[in-house]
Amino acid sequence: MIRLEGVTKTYGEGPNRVEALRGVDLHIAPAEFVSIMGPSGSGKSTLLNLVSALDRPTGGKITIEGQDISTLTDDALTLFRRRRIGLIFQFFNLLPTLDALHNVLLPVMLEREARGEDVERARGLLEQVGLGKRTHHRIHQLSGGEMQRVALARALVLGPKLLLADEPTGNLDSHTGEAMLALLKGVRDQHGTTIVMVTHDRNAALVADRQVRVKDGTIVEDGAAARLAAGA
Amino acid sequence: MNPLRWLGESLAFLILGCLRGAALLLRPWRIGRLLRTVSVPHFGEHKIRTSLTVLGIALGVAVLIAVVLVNRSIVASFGATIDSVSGKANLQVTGGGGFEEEVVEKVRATPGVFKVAPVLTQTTPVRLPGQQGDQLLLVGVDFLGEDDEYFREYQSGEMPAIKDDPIAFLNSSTHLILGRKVADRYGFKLHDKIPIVTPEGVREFEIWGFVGDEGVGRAFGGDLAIMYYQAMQVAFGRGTKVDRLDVAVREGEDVAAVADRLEAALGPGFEVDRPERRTERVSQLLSGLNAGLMMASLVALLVGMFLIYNTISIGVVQRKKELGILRALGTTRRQTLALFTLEGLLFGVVGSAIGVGLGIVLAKFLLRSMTESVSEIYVQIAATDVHIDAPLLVGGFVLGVLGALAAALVPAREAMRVSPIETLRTSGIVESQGPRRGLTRADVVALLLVAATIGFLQLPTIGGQPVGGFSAAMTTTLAGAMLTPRLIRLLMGGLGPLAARLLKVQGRLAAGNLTRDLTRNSITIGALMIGVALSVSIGTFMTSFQRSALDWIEQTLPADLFVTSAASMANARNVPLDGALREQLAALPGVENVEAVRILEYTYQGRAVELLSSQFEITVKRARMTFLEGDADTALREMLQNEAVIVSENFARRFGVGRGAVLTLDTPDGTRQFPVTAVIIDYTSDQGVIAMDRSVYTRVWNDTLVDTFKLYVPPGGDLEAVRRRIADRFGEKHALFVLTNAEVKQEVVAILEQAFVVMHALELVAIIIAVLGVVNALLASVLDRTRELGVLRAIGMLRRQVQRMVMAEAGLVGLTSTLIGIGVGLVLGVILLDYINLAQTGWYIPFRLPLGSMGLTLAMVPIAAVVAGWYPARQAAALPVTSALEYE
Repeated sequence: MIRLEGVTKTYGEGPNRVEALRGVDLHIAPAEFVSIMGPSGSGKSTLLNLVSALDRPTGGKITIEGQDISTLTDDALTLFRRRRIGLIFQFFNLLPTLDALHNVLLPVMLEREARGEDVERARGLLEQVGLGKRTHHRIHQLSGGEMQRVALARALVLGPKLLLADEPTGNLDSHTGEAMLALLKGVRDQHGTTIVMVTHDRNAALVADRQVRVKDGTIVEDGAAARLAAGA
Repeated sequence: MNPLRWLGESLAFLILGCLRGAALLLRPWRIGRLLRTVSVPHFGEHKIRTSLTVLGIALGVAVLIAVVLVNRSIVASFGATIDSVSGKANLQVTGGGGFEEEVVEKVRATPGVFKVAPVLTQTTPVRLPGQQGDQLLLVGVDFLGEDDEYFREYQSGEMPAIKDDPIAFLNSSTHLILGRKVADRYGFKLHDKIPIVTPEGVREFEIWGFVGDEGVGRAFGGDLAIMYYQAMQVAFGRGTKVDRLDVAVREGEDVAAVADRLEAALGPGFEVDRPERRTERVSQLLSGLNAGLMMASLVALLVGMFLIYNTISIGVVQRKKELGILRALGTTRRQTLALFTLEGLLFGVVGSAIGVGLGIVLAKFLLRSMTESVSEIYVQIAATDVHIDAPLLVGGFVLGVLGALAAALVPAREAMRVSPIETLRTSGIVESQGPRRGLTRADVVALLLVAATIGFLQLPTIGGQPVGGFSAAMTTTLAGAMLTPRLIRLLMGGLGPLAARLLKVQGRLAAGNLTRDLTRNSITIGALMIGVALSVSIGTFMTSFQRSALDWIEQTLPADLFVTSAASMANARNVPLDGALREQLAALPGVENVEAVRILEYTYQGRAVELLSSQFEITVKRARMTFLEGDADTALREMLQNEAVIVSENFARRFGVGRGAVLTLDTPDGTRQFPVTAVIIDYTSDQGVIAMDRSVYTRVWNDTLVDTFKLYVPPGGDLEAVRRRIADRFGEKHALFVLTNAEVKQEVVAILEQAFVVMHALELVAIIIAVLGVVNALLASVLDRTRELGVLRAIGMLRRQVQRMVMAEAGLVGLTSTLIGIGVGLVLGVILLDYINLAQTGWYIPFRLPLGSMGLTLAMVPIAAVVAGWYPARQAAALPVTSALEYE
C-alpha cells in the first residue's frame, strides 16, 4: 500500500539546514492501522506530510498504491490527494461557511458537481458517524467531537483507500477521543481502509495494529501494539 | 524592476521610514518602543497593503487639491486678464451690452474722476491655413489718448513711433499690435499679415508692433492683440459703442463716493463697479460647477479614508494576538489606542504629502480640460499655468491627515478594547459571523442618516448654494454605507446560489467568504459602492439633462441648418456675424426662411444672464416651445406690440418673476421696462435667459449683429446642397460653421461630455482608490485564511481552483458594490436633479434612468474588482500547503 524507500527531507540551506527525515524506510500493508509517535521535532509530521502527498521528499522514493508520488506535478499530486487520500486534522479544519453536509461533500464538489448519489453517500457517512440529525447544522453549532466526526466523514466521502489522521484526538476530551478512535477502527474494519495516524497520545496509539516511533528523523521502533506496550 | 513593484516598494519605504523616524523620536516613551516593535515589523511584512493604503489617501488628497487648484487657476487667470487690461483703473463703467463712446465725456466731467479711457474686447480665433488657430483676445483701447497711458503699460518698442505719427496706423481698421508671446509662437514678424475672424468675414490684419510680456501683455495668457478702439469698432461692426470705460479716481477721493456720483450722473442703464467685481462674478458663475467637483473630490477622499480604516482595522485583527501579549505584559489601553491612532496619523502624513505633490501634477492635466469647458460654456479663459496656492496645499494636507486620523480612531478604539485572555485563544480558521436578528447599531445609524437627509432637503439655499442638498447627498451616501452589511446579506441570498451555479464550488465558497467577515467586507464594498454611486448619480444627471436638452432642441430649435462664425455654436467663442448676411443667405436657392439670433451676455441684478433676441414670428410658427406660463400666440402678440419678453424657467425661478411681472433692464437707450409675457423651458444658459423679439432688440440696443442664423429648408429640400452653397459662398470668408440639426444635438452632447470630463476623472479616481481597497482587503483575507486555504489545498483543491475562488470573491465584491452603488447612486441622482441642480441652475429636469452608466458600472466595476483580485488570488494559490496548514 505505502512504501517509503530511503526517504530524506531537508529544510533550509547552509547553516540553517535541518534534516527532518534521514533515510526512512517504511512499508505499510493495505488495511493496516499504523500509528506514528515521537516527541516534538522528531520528524513525525514531516513523515505524515510526505505520506499525505502534501510535500515532496528531498531524496528517496514514496510509492502509494503502486504510484510513485515523488515525481508527480503539483496538480497531479493534488488530484492524487483528493481521490486517493482522506485527511483528518487536529483542529478539524472545517469550513465555517458550509453546513455539515456540504463540508462532507467538499471533496466531491472539488471533483465535480455533487450528484444525488453523492449527497446520499454524504448523508450516509454522517449517519454512520452519528450525525444523521445534524446534516444542516453550521459548524459553529457543533461540538468539538461532532466537528471531528464531520471531518472523518469528509475524509471518507470519495472512498479513499488511505486515511491519514494528524492528532485526531488532540483537541478532544478523553471520552470523545476514544469514540473517535473507535470510529477510525470501525472504518478500517468495515471498508478495509489503510489508516496512518500521528499522535502524542500513547493510549490512542495502542488502538492501532502497529506503532512506529520516530526520533531525530529516523524510525527507532516499529512493531505490533502489544510489543511496544510491553516495552513501555 | 517592474514599475508597479517599484512604486509599491518606494511607498512602503517612505511609510516605513516615517514609522522608524517617529519611533526614534518617541524613543524615550513606551509608544516609541511600541511603534518599533509592533508597527514597523507589521507594515514591513505587508508592504503591498501598506503602499496601497498610502496611495489611496494620496489619490484622495490629490484630487481634492487638484480640483481647488484648477478652480483657483481659472479664476486667477481671468483675474490676471482683468488686472492686466484694466491696469490702474479703480472703477469700471459698463452697461447693457455696450454703450455709446460719448459717455466718456460725461464720466470725465464727474467730480473726483481723474482719468477715463474706453475699452473694447473681443475674442476671436486666428485663422491660419490648415490650422485650428488659437483664440486671440483683441483689446481696443485709446492708446493715442493721454488718459490711456495712465492705465496701461504696453512695453512695446514700436508704439512710441506709432504715437508720434499715428496717421499711417489709423489709416486702416486692420492694424494691430500683437502680443510677443503669440507672435513668437506663430513666427510672425513686423508687417506680417494675420488672418482674424470678424463679423464681415476673415480679414488680414497687419502687425505694426509687439506688446511685451508684462503689463497688458499678461492678459489672456499673452495671446492678445491691441487695436485702436475706433478701428476695432469698425472691424467688428460695433458702430460707435464701447464695452466699458476704465476710470481712475483722483488721489484723496473716496472711490465709493465717486462710484455713487458716476451712477447718479450716468443714470440708469449703467453699472459702476470695481474691476475685481468682474472676477468675483466669474467665480460666482463657476460656483455650481466647482461645488459639484468639490463634492466628488471629497467623496474620493472619503473612499481614501475607508482604505485607512480598513488597513488599520486589518492591522488590529492580525495583531490581536500580539496585542493580547502586550496587554498581558502591561501595555495600557491608552497606549494601545495611541499606537493605532499614531499609525493612522503617519499614514495620513505620508499619503497627504504625496497627495499634495500629485495634486499639483494632476491639476496641470485637468486645467486644460476645465479651461476648455469653461470657455465653451461660460467665459473665454486662457489659463495655462497652475496657480500654486501655499495655504491651499497646507489645507489639503491637513484635511488628508485629519481624515486619516478620524478613519484610524474607530479601529484604534477596537484595539484598545482587546482583552488579553481572549486573544491568546485562537482557532486558526476565521470564524463565521452568524446573521444578527433585529436592528443593528449600523441600521439605527442608517435610519438616523435617512432622517437627516429628509431634514436637509427641507433647508433653503444658503448664499445661493444648495447646502442642504449637498449635506443630504453626503448623509445618503453614509446611510448607504451603513446599510451595506444588511444589503450584502440580502444580495448574497440571490447572488450566492448564482455564483455556486456558475462557478461551482469556487463560487459557493467565495460567496460564503463574503458574508463570513462581514465587517471587513462591508468596508471594502462600502468604499467601492460610494465610487459607483458617485458615477451613477453623475450619470443620472447627465442622462436626464441630455435627454431634456435634446428634447428641447427637437421641439424649440427645429431649424434645418445653423450658421455661426468662428465656433460651431453660439457661445463665448463665436464671433458675431454682420446682420446683412441674412438677406444673402435667404436669397440662396433652396432656403425657405432665415431666422437671425443674437445672444448677448447681460448682467441682471448682478448676475450674468443671457439676452436672446430672435425673430419670434418665425420661432413661434416653427417651434413647439414648452410654455410653463402664457401661450405662444399671446406671447408673440405682446412681444411685437408691447415690447414684452419671455423668460426661461430658470430665470423665472432664480429671480422670482413670472408672467405679468415687469423687468427693468439697463439698455444703451437708458433703463426700460419690459413686461414678462411667458415663461418657457430653455436650456441656452444655466444662469437664465431673457428673450425678446429681434425688432425690439435691434431698435433698443442699436445692434444688428447676429450670433446664429437658423435656416429652414422646405420639406423635401436638399439640405446638403444648401449647406454646400453656404460653404462655397460664405464659408471661407466668414469662417463659418454650418451644422445640421442632428449635428447641433451632437455638439450639445459633446459639450456636456466635455463639461463632465473632470468629473468622470474624479469618479474614476474614487473607483480606483476603492479597487485598491479590494486588493488590500483580499490580501488580508488571504492571509487570515491561510490555514483554511491550506486545508482546501490538502483535501484536493487545485491551485487554479484556489485562484478562481479568490477572484470569484473579488468579482462578488465588485458586483455587490455595484448593485448597492446603483441603488444609492439613483437616490443621489434624484437629490442632484431635484435639489442641487434646481437650486444652482433653476432648471427642473425630469429624472431619467441612466441605463448607460448603470450598464457601464455593472460591466466594468466587477471586472475591475476581478482584475484587482488577481494578485491576492495568485498569492493564495501559491501558498505552500504544509506551511499554510501550520499557520496560526
